[in-house]
Amino acid sequence: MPQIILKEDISITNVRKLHAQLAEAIEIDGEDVIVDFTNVKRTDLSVYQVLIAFARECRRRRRILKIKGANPKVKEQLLLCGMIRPR
Amino acid sequence: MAENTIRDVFLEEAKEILRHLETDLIQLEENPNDDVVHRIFRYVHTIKGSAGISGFEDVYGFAHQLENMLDAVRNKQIPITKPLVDLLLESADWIAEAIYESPDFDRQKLLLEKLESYQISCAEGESKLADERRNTVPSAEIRYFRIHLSFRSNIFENGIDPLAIIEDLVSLGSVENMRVHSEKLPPFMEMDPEKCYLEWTILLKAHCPPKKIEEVFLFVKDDNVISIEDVTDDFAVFEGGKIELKERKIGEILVRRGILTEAELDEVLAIQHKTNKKIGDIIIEKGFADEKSVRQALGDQRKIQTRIQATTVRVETKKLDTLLNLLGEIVISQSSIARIADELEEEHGYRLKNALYGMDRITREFQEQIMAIRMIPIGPTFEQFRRFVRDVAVEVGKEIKLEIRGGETELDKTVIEQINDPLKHMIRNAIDHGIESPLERERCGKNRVGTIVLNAYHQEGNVFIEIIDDGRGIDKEAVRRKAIERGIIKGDEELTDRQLQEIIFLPGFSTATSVGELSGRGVGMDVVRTNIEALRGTVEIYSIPGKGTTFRIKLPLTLAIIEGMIVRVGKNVYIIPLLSIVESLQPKKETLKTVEGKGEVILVRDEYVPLVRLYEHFNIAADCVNPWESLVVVVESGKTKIGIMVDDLVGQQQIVIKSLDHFITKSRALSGAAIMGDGTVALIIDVHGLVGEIVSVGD
Repeated sequence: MPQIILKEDISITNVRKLHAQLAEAIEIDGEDVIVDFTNVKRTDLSVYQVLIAFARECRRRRRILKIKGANPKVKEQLLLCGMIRPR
Repeated sequence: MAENTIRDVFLEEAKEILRHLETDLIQLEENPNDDVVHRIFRYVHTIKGSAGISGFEDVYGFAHQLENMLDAVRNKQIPITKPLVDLLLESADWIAEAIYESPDFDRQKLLLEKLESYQISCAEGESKLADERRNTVPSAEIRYFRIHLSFRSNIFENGIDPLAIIEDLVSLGSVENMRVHSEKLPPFMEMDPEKCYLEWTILLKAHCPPKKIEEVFLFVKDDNVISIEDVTDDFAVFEGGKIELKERKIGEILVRRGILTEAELDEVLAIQHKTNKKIGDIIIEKGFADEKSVRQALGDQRKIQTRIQATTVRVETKKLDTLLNLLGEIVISQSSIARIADELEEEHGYRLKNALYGMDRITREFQEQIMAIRMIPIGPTFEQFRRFVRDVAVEVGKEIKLEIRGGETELDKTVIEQINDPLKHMIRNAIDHGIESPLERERCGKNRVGTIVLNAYHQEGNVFIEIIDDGRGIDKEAVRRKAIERGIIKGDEELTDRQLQEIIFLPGFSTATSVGELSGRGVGMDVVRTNIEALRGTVEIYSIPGKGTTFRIKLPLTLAIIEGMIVRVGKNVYIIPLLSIVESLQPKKETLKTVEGKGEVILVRDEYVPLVRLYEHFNIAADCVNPWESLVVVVESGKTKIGIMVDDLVGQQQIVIKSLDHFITKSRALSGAAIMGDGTVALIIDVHGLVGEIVSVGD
């Protein structure tokens, strides 16, 4: 299962790289994709936009994007970007 | 709702709130209790909230400080004392000034300092615990904002992260609802990761003014689409606020709350049009919102509807005037049709007249209903004098209590608006000249606290307003001396009650030995009478030495419509108000006399009544110049009668009064005009004015 571990400094400055990594990961047949936020304290909108578009692409291909290691701040950001629902 | 509309509603609403505030502040001083304190707090709180929404930021800030202080009063941390009430009244005055005139910032600063130092001095006397408790009492107000954010696509290039801005925003309150619009986000493979595509609609519940929200977007507002809408009115029903509630459709509520987009609503409506399904069901089916949000919105919609049904509607007086004018036009048209009916052959004329009678009944009922809407109770006008009496009494070193009776008595809004000044004059006179000093009252065996009563009641189709004081009464001898001094009466003449009244209402007349700040300059009572007469009213004085004085004002119920007698002089038609007419007669030649200094008089029931030849008075042509060939309408103003000579009595009719501008006539003898059934204009005779022009006071 492809897993992308985000670096602490993931942001607009290196979002193209993330985009490329994800594009590569989705090409691996039949596998769900895991994005690991363990090292990330917070990030910016560009990262979440890429993930939203990627999640759609996953759905289109009947695949699942899994997010792990999100701290409360990241969860809040995910919520604000509409990626997770409020409890 | 447009900003202007919000402002207008606030301006109207604030007037009423400030009036209640003032009344309750006076009551707080007289009878301090928790209910009054809570009410005062609510008034200030409502003003604060509405001022913020309506753009009165200074009032908002000031009311906020005042609210803090009242909160401490509410929590018994500040005792209710006279200096406190004085400070609160002064603060209320500043708010009124800032709303309706222009804010005096020096005074505002001074008041804020006073409020602060007052609070500090009270706090110093309290325990530390109580002090801490006061500091932690929340005083913010909940508001709801619907915020739509659409950032330019290259915003990241400037080092701005829209998400950081949104995080700042939500830190100001709590997100009640949020929609992230990702429609513009291209497919993953086609997207440019360095561009911004997402948009937001956020419903934020916050404890801050709109300005605070705007500050979040300070650096992005110019080149991005940021819209902030205060939608507190959608939620007021749940917070118990006093903000106007608007009835909205379920789709609109969901859009305003950011649950649904406009495009989605359009889609839902299109589906509903085709399938006739319930909107809520379609929204859930389409996945635009969850069932909980839809159910909540439906519940809220019902609550708002219930609230709206339970409240009254605020209508501009201008609209009622227009309605009344239109009704007047209908009455005129009816008269025209009646004239045509007269010209028709018998059967058709009869049928048309019958139909007109039916219509006339409905028109009269319609008119009564409109008039009923225009009627408002005089209570609030009376109430506003509490403060006035309190302040003036303190100024002149007297102790006076104001009693209000018959506050529920209703009269025309226009009359109420215009009676304010005359009332103020008379109350001022009662305080200054009527009520004695506490010592003097005690010497006379009276209660040291004097009483002024404002009383209103309906009687015989009129409204009576009385200003009663239990003071020393009018010093008839002093009035007599003054009258002799001014040559109004001779030295050996006694004053009749009527003369006494006439003298008191003379311009420049005063018995005061010294001119006070309030009265004694002889200015006022003549203006009082003129103002009351302009309302087609009269004023009388009843006074008992040592017991007190009563000013009794008699006013018509309405100024808009009168029952009038139509009279003809030559080719001109005039209307005499029916209420002023005593009788009409054709005088015999031998009843006419000319009295030196009085002019022509006619003998009517053993009384000589001055005769007014209307054609001479208005300088027009008449058919008859001999009184015994014409008709005389005897009218009465106060206790004075005159006979008006006319060519003919045309008939009696309800008249809708149209005002006459002053540039048309300066004559006091005319009060307005009316359009008759045939389209001609008839002038309405002001009997009080005509009598004033004919009869001199000495008579």
